[in-house]
Amino acid sequence: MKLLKIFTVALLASSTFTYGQSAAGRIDATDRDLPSPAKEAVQASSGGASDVSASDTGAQRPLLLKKSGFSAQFGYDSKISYKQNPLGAPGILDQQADAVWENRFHGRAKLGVYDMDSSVFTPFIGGSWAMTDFTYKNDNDVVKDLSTLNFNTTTAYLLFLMQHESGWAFRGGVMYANDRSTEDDTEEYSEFYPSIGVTKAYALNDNALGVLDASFGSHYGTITDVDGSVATHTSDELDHIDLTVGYSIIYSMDNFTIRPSYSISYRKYDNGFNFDRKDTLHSVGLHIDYPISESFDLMLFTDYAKRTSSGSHEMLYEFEKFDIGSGLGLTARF
Amino acid sequence: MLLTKTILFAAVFTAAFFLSAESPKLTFKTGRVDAVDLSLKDSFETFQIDLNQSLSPNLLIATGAQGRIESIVNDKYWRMGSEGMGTWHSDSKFWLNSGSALFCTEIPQTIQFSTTESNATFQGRGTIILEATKNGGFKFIPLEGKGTITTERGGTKEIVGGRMLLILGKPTYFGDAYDIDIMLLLKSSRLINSYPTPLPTFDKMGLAIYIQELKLKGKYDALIGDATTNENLQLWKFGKSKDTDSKQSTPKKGFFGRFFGSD
Repeated sequence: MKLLKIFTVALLASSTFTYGQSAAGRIDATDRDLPSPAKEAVQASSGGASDVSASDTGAQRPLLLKKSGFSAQFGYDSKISYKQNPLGAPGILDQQADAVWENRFHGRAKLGVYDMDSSVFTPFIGGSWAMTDFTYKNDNDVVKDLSTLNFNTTTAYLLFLMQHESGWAFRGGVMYANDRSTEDDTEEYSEFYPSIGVTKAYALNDNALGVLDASFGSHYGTITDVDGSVATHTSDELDHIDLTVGYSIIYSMDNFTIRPSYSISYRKYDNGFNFDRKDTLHSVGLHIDYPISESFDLMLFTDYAKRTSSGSHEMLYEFEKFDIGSGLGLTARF
Repeated sequence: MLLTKTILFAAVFTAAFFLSAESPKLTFKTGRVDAVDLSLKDSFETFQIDLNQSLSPNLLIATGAQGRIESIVNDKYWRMGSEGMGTWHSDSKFWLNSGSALFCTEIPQTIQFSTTESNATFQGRGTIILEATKNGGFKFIPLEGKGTITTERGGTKEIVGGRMLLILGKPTYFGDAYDIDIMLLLKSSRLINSYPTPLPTFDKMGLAIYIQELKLKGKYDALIGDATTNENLQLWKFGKSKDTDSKQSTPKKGFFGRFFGSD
C-alpha cells in the first residue's frame, strides 16, 4: 500500500513536471481576454490634459469630427521581458527563467456610434496576430531548447460596447483565438470565448482615476494532444467558465501614465481530466507608459501571478509567475 | 361634466401661465452684482441685489469683475458670469447684453434667448452656454442636450453636444457651426466650475465627451475668440505648426504623420 502511494506520488510529480514544461502547460497558463475598449479609452485619455487659463465661457478649441462613427486603428507592439516561469510550470517560481520576445500586430474597426440618449452603443470588430519567441536553452533540462515551443497566436473578435451616462460601460462579445506552433506549423489550441463585462472609471483626484472591471465568460476550446501519451485527456478539457474582477489606478504624472493593478479570477472546469478542477488566479501588475509621440509609446511593465487550484490534480496547476520587461508600441488611427 | 372639464383646463392654463411667467430668484451670488430698476424712468441708480431676490423683468443685472450669480428655480439652472449684463424677462426668456451665461435643465422646455441684435428659441433640454459677441449676436454652445434651436431666417436646427452655433443678425440667422472640445471647455469654464452647486447634467456631459472621443479625427491648434462682425470670427492660433492656416495645422496628416505626429 505504501509502495503504491509512493508510486502514485512519483507518477504525479513526474507528470506535473512534464505537463508544466510543455506546450499544454503553457496553453493552460495563458490568459485570453476579450479586449475592453472602455478601459483602454480611459487609459488613453487619462494623460495629456491641456493647460488653458480659465474664463467664464471656457476655452473653445475646434475639433475635426468624423461624420460617421466608423474608424479603424492598426498597430504593432514589440515587448521583451524576463519571465521567471514562462510556461506556467507548477511549483516554485524560478523555472526556466527566460527572456521572451513578443511581437504583435493588431487592428480594430469601430463600426458606428449610436447615440441612445442615456447611453452610446458601439460595435467593434478586431483581431491580432502575435509571435512569441523563447530563448531559454539548458542541456540538462527536460526541454533543452524552449524555442521549440515558440508559437503564434491569432485572435479575432466581435464586440458590442454600451457606455451608459452613469459611467458604467457594458460589453459583450465573442472572441476566437488559436495558437500554432512555429516549429511544427500545427494548431495546438483554439477556442471560442463568449463573454460579458462591465467597466466603471471614476476620478480619485486630479491626477488619478480608479478603474473597476469585471467580466464573465466561457471558454470552449480544442487542445491538440495534451501530452502525447495519456489517453485520459480529451480535447475539451480546458473548457471552463471564468469570473474576473480587477481594479486599477491610473496616475498621470507629466507625460507618464502609471498603472498599478490587481485582479482575481475564478475558473471552473468540468470536462475530462479536469472534471473537478477549480482555479483561483491572483494577478498584480505595474505598468508605466510614456508617449514618445502621438502614436508611439514606450512601456515598462512588471506582473506577478499566482494560481491556486483544487480538484484531483491540483498540483498540476498551481504556479507562480513573475515577468518584468519593456516594449514599444505603434498605433495608427484612421 | 363639460363645465368641470372647462374649469380644469382653465385652472391648468392659468397655472401654466403663472409658472411660465415666473421670474428666477437669486440663489447664489459672489463678488459685486449690481442691478438697475428700469421701471423707475426718472432715477437710474444702481443697487446691489441680495439672495432670494426676484430677478424681475424690470431689473437689468450687471456683474463685476469677479461677480457671478445663479438661479435655480423650477428645475431651471441659470448662471451669469463676470462682467456680464442681462435681464430675465421670465425664467424662460433671457436677454444677454454682454458677457456669458449658462442655462441648464433636465426637463424639456421652451426658452427664448436674445441679445442686442439677435434672438433664438430653444426647445428641448440640455446644458447651454451663451456668449454675447461684439457683432450683437451670440454663441450658442450646447454642452449636451436634445432639442432644436430656431431663428427667424435660419429655420430650425437640431442641437448637438459640443457643436457651437453662431447666432447672428436681425432678422436672425445661423452663422457657422464648430465642433469644440467639450472636455477642455468644461475644465476651463468658470460658469461650470465656480459655483457651489454642481449641475445635474454632468453625467450627460460625460457622455457627450465620450461621443466626441469616439468621432474624433483631429484637434485644431486654435481657440475660437469673438465674432467682431457677422463675417469675422477670431481664431487664436497656438502650437508650433508652421502652417499659416490654423484650420489645417493638426488634423491633416499623412500615413507616417499619424504614427509620429505630436498633438
